[in-house]
Amino acid sequence: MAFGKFRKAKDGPTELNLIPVMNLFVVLIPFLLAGAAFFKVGVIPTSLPAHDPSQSDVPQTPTTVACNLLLSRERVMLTISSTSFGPDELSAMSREWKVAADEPYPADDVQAYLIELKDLYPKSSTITIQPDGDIPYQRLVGILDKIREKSLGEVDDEGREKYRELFPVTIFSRLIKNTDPVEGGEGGDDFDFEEGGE
Amino acid sequence: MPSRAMQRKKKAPGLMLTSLLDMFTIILIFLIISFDSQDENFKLNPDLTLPESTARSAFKPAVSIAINKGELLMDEKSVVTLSGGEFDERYYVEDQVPELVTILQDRFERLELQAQYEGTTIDEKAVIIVQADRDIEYRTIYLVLRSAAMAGFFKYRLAILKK
Repeated sequence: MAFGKFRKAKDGPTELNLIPVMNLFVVLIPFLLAGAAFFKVGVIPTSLPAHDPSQSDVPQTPTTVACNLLLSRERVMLTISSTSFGPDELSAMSREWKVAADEPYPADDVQAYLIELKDLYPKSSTITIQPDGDIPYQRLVGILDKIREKSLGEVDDEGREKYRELFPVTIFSRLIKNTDPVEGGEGGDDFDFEEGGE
Repeated sequence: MPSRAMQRKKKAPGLMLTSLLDMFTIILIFLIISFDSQDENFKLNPDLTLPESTARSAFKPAVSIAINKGELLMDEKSVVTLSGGEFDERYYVEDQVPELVTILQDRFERLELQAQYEGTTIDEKAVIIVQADRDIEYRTIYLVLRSAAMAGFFKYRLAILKK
């Protein structure tokens, strides 16, 4: 008699009661869904120019240049500063791109020229951005992406996209329009650079 | 002796829960992973849309400032109201947001004390995370950064949505 039950059990596999597990899942999933983030937040590190009368932000080494990128609705202008070159050489290294009204910035052209500069002066890493006050934030971030790095179109062993670093150190500054009709010359189109942060 | 067909009929039909359980397990694992990888102490302001970027720098906790089209918030508390994403014109003339400077100065002092207590440097702690709506104009963002600089903060991180 005692072995009767044992024999019965051997007859077929017993089914697990999965209903409590299912109940647990049904409770857990809405809870996790409510708390899950379906977006990834990152950051762009930046700073303001620090004003130190005893120091210049112009690089002292011959292999380094500092770039200044002026952004307005009508044009993008890249100027270079370095102690190793004269005004004429620096002027020759400057570039300007015209932008049609409400057209996107020629970010690829700017990036191509920055790659040329990076090839010539590989230790350079700083760029000062001087946008007009009315430039929308997204437009600014769009061109910053092209300035900081270039996608190489390859992936590493862990499946992450490979990038070439261009000018990752970005400093935000501001242009002050010179509205003085005598000093400004042509209707206030000239700009003075602000001296920097506090 | 009942026939086999009769015996089969007597059995109550059972739900096949195994495949459903498999599916739930996969969903649960996915949700637990995404829950775990969420950025600590980061609360995205629901009234703004961050700009999209390819930036890959990792998020680190810092003093949080949010700028949407209606107000400037620090740690989720309203500091100044904006109109259509712009401050009152007097702030642009003054070149600072005095209310924000006052609050940030107070925070900076507390961070200095905290850094002294922990034996770290203030540079590591005095960092601002700016969440700004993608349509906000640069001059508004610059004014906030400049106010932060006046309070002693010189490192900023612009929050973006990774593409």
